[in-house]
Amino acid sequence: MNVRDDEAWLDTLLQRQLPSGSSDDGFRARLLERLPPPPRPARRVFGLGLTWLVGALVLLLPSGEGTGVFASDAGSLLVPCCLGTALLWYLVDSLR
Amino acid sequence: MASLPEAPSDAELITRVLVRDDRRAFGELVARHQSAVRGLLRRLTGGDVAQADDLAQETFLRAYRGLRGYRGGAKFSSWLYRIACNVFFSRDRGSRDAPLEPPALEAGSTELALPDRVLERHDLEKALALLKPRERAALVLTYANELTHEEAAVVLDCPVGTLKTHVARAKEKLRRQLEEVP
Repeated sequence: MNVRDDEAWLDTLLQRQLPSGSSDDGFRARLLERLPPPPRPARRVFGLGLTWLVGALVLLLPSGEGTGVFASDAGSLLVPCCLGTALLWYLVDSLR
Repeated sequence: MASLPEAPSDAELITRVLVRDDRRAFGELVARHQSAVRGLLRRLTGGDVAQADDLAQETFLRAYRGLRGYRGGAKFSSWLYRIACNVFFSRDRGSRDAPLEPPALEAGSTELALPDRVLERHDLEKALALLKPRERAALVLTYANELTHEEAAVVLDCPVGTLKTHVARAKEKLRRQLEEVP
C-alpha cells in the first residue's frame, strides 16, 4: 500500500465512522440551560442606590442634641465608612 | 433583490458574549461547532454517544467560563478541540494512557444481518478503542477533523514531532488491528 492509498484508506474509514453533521438533538437548549445565571446589573445599581439613600437619610436624621448625626464624632466616621463599603462591594461584585 | 445579511463571524459572536453576555450569540457559536466537537468526542470515546455528549456539554461550559482566555491566535474550533481533549483526558486521569474497553455490537444483532458499513464502523471503533488516548486523539484530529499536524500539536499541547509519532504509531496499530479482523 503506497502512502497515498494509505492516507485515503484511513481517511475513508474515519470519515465513515460517524455520519458527518450530527443534528442538534436539543444539545444547544440543554447547554444554554446549564449556563451560570446572568449577572443582574440593574439589581446591583438598585442595591447601591438604596444603600446611598439610607446613608443620606441617616445623615439628615436629627440626633438627641438637635443636630444631624454627621455632626457627632461617631457619625462622622460611621456614615462615610458605610458608604465607602457599599461602593467597594458594588465594584467588586460588578467585576466578578 | 435584497441580499441576505451576512452571518456574523465567530470573532463577532465572541465579542458579543464577552461585552453583553449575549447568550444567543453563544448559542450560535454552539450551533456552529457542536457537530464537530461532539463528533470528535464520539470518536475519542469509542462511539459512546451518551458519554461523548456529556463531555461535549462540559467542553462548552468550560469554553463559556473561559472565553476571556481565548486570544484569537488559533481558530476558535481548535481552541474548542483543545478544551474537548482536556475534558476527555481529565475524565479519568488514572486511565489517561489506558486503552478503552472495545465497544460491543448491539444485543441481538448478528454479523450476517448487518450491512458492511456498520461492521466496518464497528471494527474501526474496536480498533480505535485499543489505542492509547493520545494516539487516538492525534489520529482523529488529523484525519477525521482534518487539522494540520501543527494545529493538532497545538490542540494536544505537544511538539509537532511528538504528534507525528503518535499518528504514525496509531496508524500502524490500527492497520494491524484491522488486518486481524476476519
